[in-house]
Amino acid sequence: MQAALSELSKWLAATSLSHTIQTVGWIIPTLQTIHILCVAVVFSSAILVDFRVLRLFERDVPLADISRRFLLPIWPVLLVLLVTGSLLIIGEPRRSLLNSTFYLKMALLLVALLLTLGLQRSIASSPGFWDKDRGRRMAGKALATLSIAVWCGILFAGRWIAYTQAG
Amino acid sequence: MMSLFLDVIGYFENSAVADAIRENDVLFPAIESVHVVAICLVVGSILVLDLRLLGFASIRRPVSPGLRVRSCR
Repeated sequence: MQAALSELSKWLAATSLSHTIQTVGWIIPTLQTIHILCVAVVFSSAILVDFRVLRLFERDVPLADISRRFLLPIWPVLLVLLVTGSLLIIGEPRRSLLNSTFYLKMALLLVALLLTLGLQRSIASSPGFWDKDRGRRMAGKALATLSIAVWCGILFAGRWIAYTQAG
Repeated sequence: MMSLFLDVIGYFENSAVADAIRENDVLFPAIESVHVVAICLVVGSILVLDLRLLGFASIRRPVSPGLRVRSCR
């Protein structure tokens, strides 16, 4: 597994696209800037909806409205994150592909996306889903808290990638 | 002026806090991560307001619910 990833990194680093990203000075900082701005949008949107579920924000606005307003725009922005993230990996494959923190980040991302998708689907199918009874409200708050923790974990892991690089 | 600036930098560099951050493996990335989380929240929430003010998003919502109440009276 490790050897295969090492081979893949070597192959990626030898491509002409990787060479361009490595040698043209402004590409990596520009990609990183776009990436972090998109992270800000996705992170804030998810957190705002979680805060609404926790009744800390826009309590008088229906959750379905908040979900439509903030969760729908997450998906196109995620596409930008996927593209810029992939280009950053192609530019410096060893930095992430041979780094366990990167895989932690991806695993947390998967959990966060499943939570977000679940929240979005449940609210779309029945607007009062998280407000039916005490049990649902508690479950909603637990999910929102978990979602906030996981999104913060993604940002922490993202930063930590720089500090846990393979030699 | 320049030497005063260097003195201030030196003061911070030699402080116990700076030393703790330098010597600890976890402290610097931890502080950095909290910084990034906070930046993301600031940028994201300001963006919500700016996009509304520019008329690109949520245009049927009042910019400030309080303003609407006053203008209705």
